[in-house]
Amino acid sequence: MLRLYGRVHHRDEPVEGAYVRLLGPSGEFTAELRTDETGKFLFYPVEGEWTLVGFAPGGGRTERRVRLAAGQSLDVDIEV
Amino acid sequence: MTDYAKPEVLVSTDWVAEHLGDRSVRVVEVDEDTTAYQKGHILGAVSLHWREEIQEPVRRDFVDRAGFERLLGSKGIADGDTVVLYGGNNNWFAAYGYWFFRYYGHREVRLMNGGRKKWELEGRELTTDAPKVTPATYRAKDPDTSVRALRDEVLAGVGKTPMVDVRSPEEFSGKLAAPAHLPQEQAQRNGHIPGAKNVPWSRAANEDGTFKSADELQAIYGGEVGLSATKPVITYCRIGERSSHTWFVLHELLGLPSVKNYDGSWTEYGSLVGVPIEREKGDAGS
Repeated sequence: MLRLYGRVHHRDEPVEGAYVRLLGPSGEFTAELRTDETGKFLFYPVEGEWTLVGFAPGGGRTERRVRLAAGQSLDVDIEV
Repeated sequence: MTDYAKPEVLVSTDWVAEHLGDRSVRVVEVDEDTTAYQKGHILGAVSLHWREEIQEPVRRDFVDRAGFERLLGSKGIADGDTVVLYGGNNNWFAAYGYWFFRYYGHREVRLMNGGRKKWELEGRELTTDAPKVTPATYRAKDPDTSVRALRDEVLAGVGKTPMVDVRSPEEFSGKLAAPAHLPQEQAQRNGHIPGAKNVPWSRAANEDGTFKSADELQAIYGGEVGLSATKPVITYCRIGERSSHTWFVLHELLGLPSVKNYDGSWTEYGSLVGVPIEREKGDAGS
């Protein structure tokens, strides 16, 4: 099972209560998570092109595009 | 701009904030992540646990009418109260709760537009204080079976009744068996019900979790998908909660008269022996 995980942070501090949205190749919604107290998130997607969108509490939106290859797990940091 | 068929079924986060002390309004959180409520909830809100309270502990079904009455009464909710539901994941499980309340005939039930995410991202207050609950007497109506599709009706409707599969394209095609934030599990086979149209629930929602406008929804479900008031519709997903979101859109916001949610959904259909399944070529599934 592939894993796409990481941490949402603001100036190196983890952000709890941010939302991370996973979008598929054509921009369609696939899943969304709320970060825990360490700012972490974890998805189980299939291989392919994905976009992560981070939403910060109180406003702020950051996008990260990633490519997940077969058998790969990817660690992605999102600065909001 | 067209209004929703039943605009009263949605309330805004502002409206909820203004009614926090209103005793006739009962705010109820229903979440997929059942630990979210304990970490912080809207002041005065009670929690409904979708698995441990809404569903039967042993048999796969939600609680019967007497169970619903006991449950609501124990939460301090009377049948005349206005119930406002909210939850995470853009109100997936809150919509499931809404559908469940409608099934037992609760009249004054609302969804907080945007759900927990909008409330949080707006920086509104959450509390860990337990609400004061005074048990109430609740009298439910007879189940409204017109909003629920069971397995036999779904099977009889394959190829005849319009069906909307609201899961992600990856689940619909058979690449995944569950949403990408959940471990892969559940049904024995991946794929979808033959003839079903894939309209992910998220098509109905804005990025902040609120519902799209009536005109936008009509363009998707009426224009693009071709649903109309003249034919019944069945919605399904994996376990019936995302499809409650789309059921809410079709039945409450667009006012289609006959919309049933198949809460058995893919975890049931995809495990049935001998039923037809469609899957994209080359997608062997997980």
